[in-house]
Amino acid sequence: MAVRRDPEALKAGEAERPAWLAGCCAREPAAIAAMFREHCVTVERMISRLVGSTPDLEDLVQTTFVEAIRTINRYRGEASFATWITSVAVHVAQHHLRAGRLRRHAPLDLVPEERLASSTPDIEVQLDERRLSGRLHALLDRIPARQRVALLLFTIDGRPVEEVAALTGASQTTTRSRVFLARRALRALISADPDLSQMAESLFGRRREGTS
Amino acid sequence: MTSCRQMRDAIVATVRRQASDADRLRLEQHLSVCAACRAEKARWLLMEQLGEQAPQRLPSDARARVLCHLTSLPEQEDAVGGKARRFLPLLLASTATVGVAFVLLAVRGRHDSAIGAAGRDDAHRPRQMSVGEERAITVQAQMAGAIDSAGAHIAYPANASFSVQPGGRQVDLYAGEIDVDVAPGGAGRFRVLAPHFTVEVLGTHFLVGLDRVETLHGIVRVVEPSGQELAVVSAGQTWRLHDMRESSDTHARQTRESLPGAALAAHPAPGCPPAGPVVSRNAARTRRVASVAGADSFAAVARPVGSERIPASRAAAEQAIETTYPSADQLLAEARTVLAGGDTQRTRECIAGALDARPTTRQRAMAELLSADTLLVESRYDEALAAYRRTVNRFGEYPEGETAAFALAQLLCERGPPAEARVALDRYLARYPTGRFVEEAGKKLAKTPAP
Repeated sequence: MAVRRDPEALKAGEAERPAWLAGCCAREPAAIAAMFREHCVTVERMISRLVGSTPDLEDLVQTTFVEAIRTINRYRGEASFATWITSVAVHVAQHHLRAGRLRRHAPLDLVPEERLASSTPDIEVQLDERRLSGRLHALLDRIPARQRVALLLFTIDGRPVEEVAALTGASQTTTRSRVFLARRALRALISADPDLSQMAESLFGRRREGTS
Repeated sequence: MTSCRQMRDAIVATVRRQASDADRLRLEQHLSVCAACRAEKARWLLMEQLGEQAPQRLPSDARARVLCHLTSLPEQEDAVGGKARRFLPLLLASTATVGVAFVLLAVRGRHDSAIGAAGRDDAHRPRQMSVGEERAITVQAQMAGAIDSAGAHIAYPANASFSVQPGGRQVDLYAGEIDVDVAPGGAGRFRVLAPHFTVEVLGTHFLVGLDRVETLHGIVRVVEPSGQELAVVSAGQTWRLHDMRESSDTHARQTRESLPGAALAAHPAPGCPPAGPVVSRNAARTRRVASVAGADSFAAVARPVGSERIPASRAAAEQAIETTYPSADQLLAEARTVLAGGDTQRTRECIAGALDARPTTRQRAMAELLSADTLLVESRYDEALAAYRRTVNRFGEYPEGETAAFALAQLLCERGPPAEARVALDRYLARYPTGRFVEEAGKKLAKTPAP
């Protein structure tokens, strides 16, 4: 899915074609390695954001790049390559969520070391954060994959509707509708779980005390 | 009266810590009477929490594995048009389904039911067929044969028993051994589930038995049913459940869940980076064996095997390697023993050795706890407190985390301010309400004076 731009932007985009693109089309290992190094973090971040903490991250990242390499001939330079590969990652994550292949447990190996070793004095705050995130993702699992992805891209990533629509391959109206439905569903789920709201309030209060 | 619509902006500003004190006060007054806005605020808080969560990152060895796979992708032209490609999987699936239905009918017609619905059939002669995606296929072979399944070629000898799950990317192995050749670029990871472990691959050639995995090409990952990684097996390496259990059994029951690194011979896949410290460690072991046993036996051990089976001499060499160098579990056990004798220097050496031996997460938790205990034995109380806190923080879900939480509380009771001790005891009781030290913690809490 390519993001459409106006002709000026199109020209600019074509001028910004990465040097390794031709090599990737020819399946040259050096070019593929350069592309992977440049965009690995973007893909990891996007998948992690949409799917949550998952032991399947390696699979999903690999699938994204395999798909990107397979379809790289279709990249026409109408958007930046980062946007294009992000849209591939979004589709892979969406497919993963739809297939219900989530294994909702996060081995400690996968928790970033810098986060564990941070100098936050209150260990309990970090633990509560993790518990809360786990429960939140459990709630999000109950929202249809497309709605969930639209909500996360719009609300958490702060992307405009047009960009979310382009990344997910939907129209802007559909995207707005998905965000609305996801919000409504999430609100209902949270209302049905008062304990969760209390946890969030308590955590927020402690964080505010910490920062003040 | 302020309307809910007006309050929405205040909610967002408050959650993002951008609201003025006056706005916050106004919002709090409104929230005290409006349940809908309370729910809205909770939703915003939770979404904000998701946003603040650090994204998960792949470790560098995983990145290297992915890159290795990408650079070894076969050249295939993307010749099919966009719309045609969209329908291609459907077309292929339909063709495969028709093919399987035809084959099943033919098989049933001949009363030769080697392959069919679960638990039904026996194979009497070699066969070659494709597996569809709609239903599980079970093979109970009396003679050797092969099937193709979602980009994988599975060859099996007589007496092998396994089933291919719908989708064709998961095989449950019940008996015997299967030879699996997975083409790269398939949809997701191919998994073989043996009773005690799971093998995960993306594109490679390997053999799986009930107690061993041998990689002929590429890299495979062996994991516990719980998802805990046991080993990464590169081309030419063999991993055995038996060896792993032997080294495990030498240890206390509490370490049984965290199995140590497996017995591997060292042959990194040509052109691929080593998959984590297992390979480098075993490579070092192989070099050591070479220096002990001479160049001839080293050649026997280190020769790339390609598609050949591992000779008996190599298996013996692997056994020798494994018995010569202790596992992480053995080193941790030794660390515990020497610490009980007060030899903190040797304890540290053992812990360092264990950490160098590619420990599991549980073993890392044990190592952290032992480090904290070592500091305590050396009367370095402040450092011990910090080490216990670190263990609780990192490994709170494990028994070692619980032990560290109680040890922390206990140390604070003896050495720290009573207020902190009370907090630590409270936290222990709150976090582990059915923990091993609940009774003791309760007693200590009762004895600790309130501030």
